[in-house]
This record gives sequence, C-alpha cells and structure tokens, in this order.
Amino acid sequence: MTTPTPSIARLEFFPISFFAMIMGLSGLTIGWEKAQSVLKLDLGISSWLVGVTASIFVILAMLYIGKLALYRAAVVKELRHPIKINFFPTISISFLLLSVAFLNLMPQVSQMLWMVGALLHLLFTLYVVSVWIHHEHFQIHHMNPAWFIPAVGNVLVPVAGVPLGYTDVSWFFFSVGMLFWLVLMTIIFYRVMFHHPIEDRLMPTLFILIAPPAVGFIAYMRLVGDLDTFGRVLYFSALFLTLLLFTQGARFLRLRFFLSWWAYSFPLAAFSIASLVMFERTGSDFYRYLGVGVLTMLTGIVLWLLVATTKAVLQHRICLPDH
Amino acid sequence: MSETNPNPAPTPTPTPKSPSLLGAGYLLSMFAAGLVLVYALDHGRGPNVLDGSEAPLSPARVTDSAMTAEDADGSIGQLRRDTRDLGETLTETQRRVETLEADLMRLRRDQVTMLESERQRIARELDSAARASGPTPAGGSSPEEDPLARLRHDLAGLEARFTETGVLLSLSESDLGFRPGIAALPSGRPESLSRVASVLELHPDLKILLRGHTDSSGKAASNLALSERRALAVRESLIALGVPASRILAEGAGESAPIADNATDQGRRLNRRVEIHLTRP
Repeated sequence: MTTPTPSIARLEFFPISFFAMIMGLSGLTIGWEKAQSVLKLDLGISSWLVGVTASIFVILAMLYIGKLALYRAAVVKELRHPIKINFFPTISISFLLLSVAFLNLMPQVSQMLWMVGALLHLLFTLYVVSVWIHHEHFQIHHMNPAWFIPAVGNVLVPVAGVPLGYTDVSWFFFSVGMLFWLVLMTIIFYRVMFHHPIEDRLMPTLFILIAPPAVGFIAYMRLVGDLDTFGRVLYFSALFLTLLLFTQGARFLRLRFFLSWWAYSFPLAAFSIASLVMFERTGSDFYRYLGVGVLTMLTGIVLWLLVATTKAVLQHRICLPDH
Repeated sequence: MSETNPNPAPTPTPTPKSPSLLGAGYLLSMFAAGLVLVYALDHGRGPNVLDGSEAPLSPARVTDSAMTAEDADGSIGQLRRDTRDLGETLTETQRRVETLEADLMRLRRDQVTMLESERQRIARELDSAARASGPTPAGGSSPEEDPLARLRHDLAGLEARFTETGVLLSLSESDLGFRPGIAALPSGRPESLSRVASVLELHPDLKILLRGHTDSSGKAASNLALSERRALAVRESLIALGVPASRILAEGAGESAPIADNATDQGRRLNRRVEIHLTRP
C-alpha cells in the first residue's frame, strides 16, 4: 500500500482483516504490561508498544475510511461476504484492546476508547448475528473460527470496563460473549469433524478457539474478583485448547503466509495474560513460567508476522481482488 | 482474506518455504527465552544475563551467589525456628490467661461469700441490739437510738444497699410485675412496695427518689420514656399507699446505667429495674 501510483487503485482491495493485526499487536502490548508488573520489572517498553500499536491502528483506520469514501461498493461487498463480515468487529475489538492498553497510561483516553469500542461492538454484534439469522448464502463450509471474532469482543469488554466503573454493562457483554462461545464452539467442532476440512488460509483462525475462554477468564476475574470454580473451568479450557493446537503445530508450520496468520497472535496473548493472572491468584510458579514463556514465544511470532506482512505488502501480495 | 470464489490461489511469489523444523525451533527457543527470563529474575540477577555475551561468572560472583543461596537457606531455617518459637509463646500465653481467669473467678466468689457472711453477722448484731433495747414502739424513736440502725432493721426483708448518700433498693421488673415494654403496674400491688411504704411511714424524715432503668434493646429515646413512665407508675402506686407525694421524686435513666451485661438474657433482666434511693434531706 505504500507504493505511489497504483496504491489508490489497490485501496479498493484493502482487506478488513488487516485490523486483526491490531488485535495481535495490542495483545502483545497488554501481555508485556502484565508481565512487567508480575515480574516487578520495568523494561520501559510499554509506552513504545502502545505508541506503535496506536499508530498502526490510526494508519489502518485512515486507509479503511479512504476505502469507504472512494469504493463504497467494495466495503458493502465485504459486509455481505460470509467470512469477511466476521472481521468487521476487529475494528471495535481494536478500540477495546487499545482502551485496555491505555488504562494505566492515560485513563481518560482509555475511557473514550472503551465507550466507542463497546458501542461499536454492540452494533457489529447485532448486525453480524442478524446476518447469521437471516442468511441466504451460508453453507456449512463457510463456518470457520473467524466467526468467533464477534463473540470474543464481547468477552473483552469487562477487562477495561470493570476498572472504569461500568460493572453492569460489563456483565451484559460478558454474558453475550459466553452465550455465543458455547453456540459457536459446538458448530465449529461439528464442521471440523463431519465436513471437509477448513481451507489452508483459514487454518490459523483455529487459534481463535483459545480466545473466548482465555479472555473470558481474565474478564471473569475482573468481574468476580475471586478465583472460583467457573474461573478455573475457563482457564483450564483455554489451557486444553492451547495444548490441542500446539500438538497440530507441524500442520500450521507448513502453511503459506496469509494475513489471517495474525489470528495466531491475539489468542496466544490472551492465554499468556490469563496464565499471569492465574499466577497472581494462586502464587504457583508454574503459571508464571508458562505465561512468560508463551509471551516471549508470541513476541517471536509477532516479529515474524511483522516481517512477513511487510514483505507481502511490498511484494503486492495483499491488496489483491481475492483477499 | 479468504476467498470462496473458485479462483485458486493466484500463485504469488512463493514465500520462502521455511522448513517447519526451523520454525518449530524458533518458537521453542522463544518459549525457552521466557522461561530463562523468569528464572534469571528469580535468582536475583538482571535480565541482561539473557544477552549471553556476558562474561562468565567470576569466582567472586559464584561464591556470592552461593552465599546468597546459603543465606537464603539459613534465613528460611531461622524463620521456621522463629515461627515455632512464636507458636510456643502463644500457647504459653493462652495457658496463663486461662489460669488468671480462673484465679479471678475464685477471688470474686470468695469475696462474695465473705461479704455475705459479714452482712449476716451485722444483721444478727443489729437484731440482738434491737432486742436488747426492747420493743420499739412504731413511730416513736428514742433520741439515743441510732436512726440508721433502726432503718437497717426495718429494711431487713428488702434487698437494700447502703450507699454514701443513703439506702438504695433495687426492684427488678419481675419484682414489680411490669410486663416487658409496658409501664403500668399490675392491679395487685407488689408486696415489696407496701414494705417500702411502711418503712417510709416509720421514717417520716426520709425522702425517696425513684429512678427507672431499662436494658439496651430498642431505641434509646423510647427506653428513656419507658423508664420514666415506670418510675412514675411506682410513684403513683406509693402515693396510693399513703406516702405523701411531696416526699417522692421520680425520673427515668433509660438504658444509660446498666448494672449487668446487656448481651445476656440474665443481664438484661437485671438491667430492667426501678431503683429506690432513700435519702435524708
């Protein structure tokens, strides 16, 4: 997108799924904020990470607004697309994640981001779900883990919402998220088991399975405050799904790079943070090692994704009609 | 991103097919880096150890860290010992508290028995003294006779306490026949009041102050009102028994002056009372 002349034309194909990048980057940012507080360590990287994430978000937002202004039809086409539609909530999720990242640095900015994010997300969720209900074009093979994205966002609301003082609103979004998690999880497993396998480029989105229980655990800890039975169920569900996906590691590593690879990043960040929260609650070193280990691994993945994304952008492999 | 159109991938320049082994190794080593980071921080060294290019540990640092470990072991042992010692001290102290409490109980009991026997002795002495001085005609007091002694004699049947200002009779709620929360005396006059009336008749120089008390249950204001109404009811009753109204003052003290623990039933029963102060003007 950075190339001079043809860039305008390519703007038409600027994919909505680019915002998944923000999910990964802010997940990484929040993860390091958490790790530094757990390890009682100040690496001085928090504001850098927040700054970079926010800047990339602003750039992507401007590009997408440009697309909306110049190629309205292309945006509408994405809104109607059975899979791409699920990536629209990544915009509101980006707002919500940035509000978490800004929570300790600038509470007022955080509050504004949270309000915009929560409202936008409610609208997206209502829209996406009503499309799901009144669909005409959905086949079982359209069902893929990206469908989780609208659900995850709901669970994310309490993470900043509770500290900002919106307890009931947070419970509302949490409940909605949990509800859709159960429903979608069932459908996904049904699809994966009984129908033809998910296409390669969507394989990474399987990682999103980790996000609802992991984020749900973090949110639930904010809402309830104590580590109780349900909290443990959420955390260990996330742990199981993480193990499950890592045992499939070989398959994932053979895949070619797609933008959807960013889907790896956020769920891992969520799981890492959940482990660190678990450490805070139980004091068990196992969770601290696990949390920081996953976080550094995630850092490696994000660095690699950044390189791969930049390369793909420079080689004009992303803003293509298909993507 | 994902397309559903049949157009198969448009064969972009193939990404350098990173051997999956290399990828796995990369991820594993990143994971291990996290573990090392935590481990390094735990053992009191900076994260810069991760650089790897750090000079190997000098012997001094080795002994240093060894000593730290030893110190840590030592201080853990010390802490364990301290905890044990504190536990022992605690048990010891608890035992002493128990002994002291038992002692206190015993002393109290002793004191009560002693005072009781003293009271009985004095009562006997007064009795015999009174008998020795012959039957005293009611109302007529011989000037040489101690009026206080006579009063004591007359009060013999009532629970009387002699205070600096006079004599204090305490009549409990049940003595007077009050029902809980009610200020009206039952129609049959309690025997204790008749006795008080006759004592007053015998000692025309005595004045009395009636003071009502309640327990602490309920609102303070309503307790105050109740205590006052009860004192007034006793006053009315005494007036009806022939005591001149001018000799009786009545007031309420509410829950402000308990004589027993309001936390127990027994204590609350003792606190609900009307006190009669006999005073010489």
